Amino acid sequence: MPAGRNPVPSLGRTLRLVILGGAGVVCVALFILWRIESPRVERVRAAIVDRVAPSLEWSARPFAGIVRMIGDFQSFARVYDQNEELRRDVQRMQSWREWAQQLEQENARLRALNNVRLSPRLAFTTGEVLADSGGPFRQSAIVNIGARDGVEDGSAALDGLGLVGRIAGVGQTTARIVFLTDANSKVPVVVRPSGRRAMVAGDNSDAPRLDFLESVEGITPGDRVVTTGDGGIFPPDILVGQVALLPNGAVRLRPAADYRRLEFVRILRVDPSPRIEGPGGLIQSGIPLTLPGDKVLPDPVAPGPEGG
Amino acid sequence: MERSALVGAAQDRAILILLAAIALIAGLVPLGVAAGAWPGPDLVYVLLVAWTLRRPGGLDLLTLMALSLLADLVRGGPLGLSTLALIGIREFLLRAGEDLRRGPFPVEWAVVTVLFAALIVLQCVGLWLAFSPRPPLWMLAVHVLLTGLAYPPAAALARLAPPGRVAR
Repeated sequence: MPAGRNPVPSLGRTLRLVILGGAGVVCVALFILWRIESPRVERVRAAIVDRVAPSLEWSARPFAGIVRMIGDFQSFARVYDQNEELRRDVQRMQSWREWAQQLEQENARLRALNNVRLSPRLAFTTGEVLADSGGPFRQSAIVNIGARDGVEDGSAALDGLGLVGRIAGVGQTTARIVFLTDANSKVPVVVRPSGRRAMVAGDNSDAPRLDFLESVEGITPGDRVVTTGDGGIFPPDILVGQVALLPNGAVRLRPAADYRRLEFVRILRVDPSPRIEGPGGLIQSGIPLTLPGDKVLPDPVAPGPEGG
Repeated sequence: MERSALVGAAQDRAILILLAAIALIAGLVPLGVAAGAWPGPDLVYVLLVAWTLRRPGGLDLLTLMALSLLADLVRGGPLGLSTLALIGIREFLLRAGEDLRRGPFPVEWAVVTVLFAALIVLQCVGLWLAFSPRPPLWMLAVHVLLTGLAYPPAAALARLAPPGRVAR
């Protein structure tokens, strides 16, 4: 460890410069590696966070608990405001309830119509938020569930209300959620009821942009925004938020997830429903054709890697 | 108090690593996860700089790199650039440190804050060169200011913690 010893005799000077230069090159190389080979770096990162997580767990919880207590005390001091707020909330909830009932009826009708089974294998695991990113460069959080619990890269993370973000980086016992608001986050969505498609692109503000929106026509503030399921990363129809129109005409998304009170997060585990690709058993001989009613259609390209 | 310089340095380093670990974890406590929330101060940076200025024996290049990279990795931001900046800052402070310590504290404080701003700028330039998205300016400004505010306690810590070999 002679690296940083700093009595500087004129002879050691060159060596010192070389060491410094080497350290600098290492840093730049790491940055480039981070930029190019992001998944690999994320894996290293996840492994390290795994190691750090236990200490996070026993330190962060009391810390956060104390601060929340203080916050609760402060909120005790402004009961009146809170009361107002709650009243507004109740109003909003009532309209929501109305809406939910309507939707439920509609759903029931539609289901009765075609005897459909929705999102056949959608399960979730709930975890606790251990840490946030602790800096301005990333909008993310670390949760205390990981590969051990079936979390995968790219899974959707939800709080009780809506989409929080997506998993990027999974360790054994921890995972990192990149929020919708992070500048690296892009999620394909559709605006209901107009059906216009867009891309929710975070920019580190608390209201992400709605990119690639064809036109604002037929879109009113408060419209629901849900995922499309395009790209196969997220399941469709997860609530993302509501449309907010800015005075300058820009369209933004008000996320449904409550980032300020993010304590528990559920991570969806999706077994994508079987896809029908290629000609199928009708044309290609040798593969049994499964009739409707059976769950799985055979995949003609790779006939059952786990089955055979 | 007879103590060899080596033992003193080792002790300084141990204290620094302990404090840096606490600072890192404290910075991660999930309080302001909302995007509009203010970014907290970079506590690890102020500790590293305070140690460079006041206990240079306790912070060799390897420790600095290790701590800085660990912080980068755990926080999840861009990797390596802040370490590069910290190496440069350490070099600068090892040269100018004597004058800074002798001068009035506000000057030292201002210099440390400006150096942190330079670190952030370097990171932004790196991200820009790599076509990566950057956080908005106000957020970075708040980050720099809060980090500046966190420096005096760190400097006091560097002076108060059980001395290994305190710089005169």
